Amino acid sequence: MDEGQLAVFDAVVFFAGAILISSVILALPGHQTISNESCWNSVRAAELLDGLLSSSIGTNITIGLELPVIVPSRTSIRDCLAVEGAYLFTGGESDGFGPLNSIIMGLLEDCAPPFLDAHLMLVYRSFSEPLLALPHAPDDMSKRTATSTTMTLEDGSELLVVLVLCPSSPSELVQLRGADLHLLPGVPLPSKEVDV
Amino acid sequence: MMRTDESGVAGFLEDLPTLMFVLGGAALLVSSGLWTSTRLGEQDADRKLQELADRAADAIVNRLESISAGDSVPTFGSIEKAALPQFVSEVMDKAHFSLNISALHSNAYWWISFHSGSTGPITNTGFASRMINAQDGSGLILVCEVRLVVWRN
Repeated sequence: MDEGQLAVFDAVVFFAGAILISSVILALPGHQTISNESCWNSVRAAELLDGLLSSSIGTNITIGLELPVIVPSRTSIRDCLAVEGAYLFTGGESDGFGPLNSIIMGLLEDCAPPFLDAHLMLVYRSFSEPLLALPHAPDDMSKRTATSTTMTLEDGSELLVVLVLCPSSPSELVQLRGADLHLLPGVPLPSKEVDV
Repeated sequence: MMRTDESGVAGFLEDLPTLMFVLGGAALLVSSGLWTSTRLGEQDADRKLQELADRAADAIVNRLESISAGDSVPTFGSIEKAALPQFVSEVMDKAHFSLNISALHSNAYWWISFHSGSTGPITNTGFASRMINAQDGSGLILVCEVRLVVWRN
């Protein structure tokens, strides 16, 4: 190999090195974006759980136990879950709590981000299976975001209220959410918009 | 003399490919470096706007919690009377913003929205969202979302 060919060979090696270094440089901005998104979800989950537990059930309902229990509309979901958790903890069936669970599931769907499936569970520390899972225990536990809070019952027992957020399947994203109805024409808009 | 100098580095056929590879490699390095530095600069500006949006959203939530004195949570009426546009404008540090507070329950059609008027192309954006509880006129406590979009022209 003469010196001319060596010069071409050196230039090709330099070009290949430039491609390699450029690909590394071009990949730098992408990594920072991903880390910001994953941080946002965990913060939101804790806010969502706290807000949901503090909100009212919104409708007067009757829980069908041996003695029917009338629950006023202003009762918080936290109090309702405490009653249901205490009942399930003593071995009771969840059949009578159907209307309450439907309301809680509806509120959960309204408040959760549309691109995430929300699952609410009541777990007693000693048991691995949840006492209650709305709408059901999550199937795919990968890429999930979870948060929990402790609820103390009247007898001193502690239940964990766990919220798990899993990515929705793409087909579910096209469904209209109830919370988006105010964006549709014909739906009353009693509030106001102000230019600053 | 040149024609008889056989110890030259290369002839015409080696010079041009060598020059092309070197120039191409150098251009690749320079262009990728410029693009990346531009993107990193934009991301840094977005990150600063994001931090501003987070700080402003926290300040708005604190403001809403402070007006709920006596009640456990603010009411819709107290939120509407909280002079939020002026408050947010002071926090925004000359950035434009759009603030929307809405009840998330499907049967509660309540929302309130403020935005600063701006024209021209948007260069950088930031977004923050917080969840709060608020009380409607009938005394029910609902989950509301505070959405804040911040941008610069």
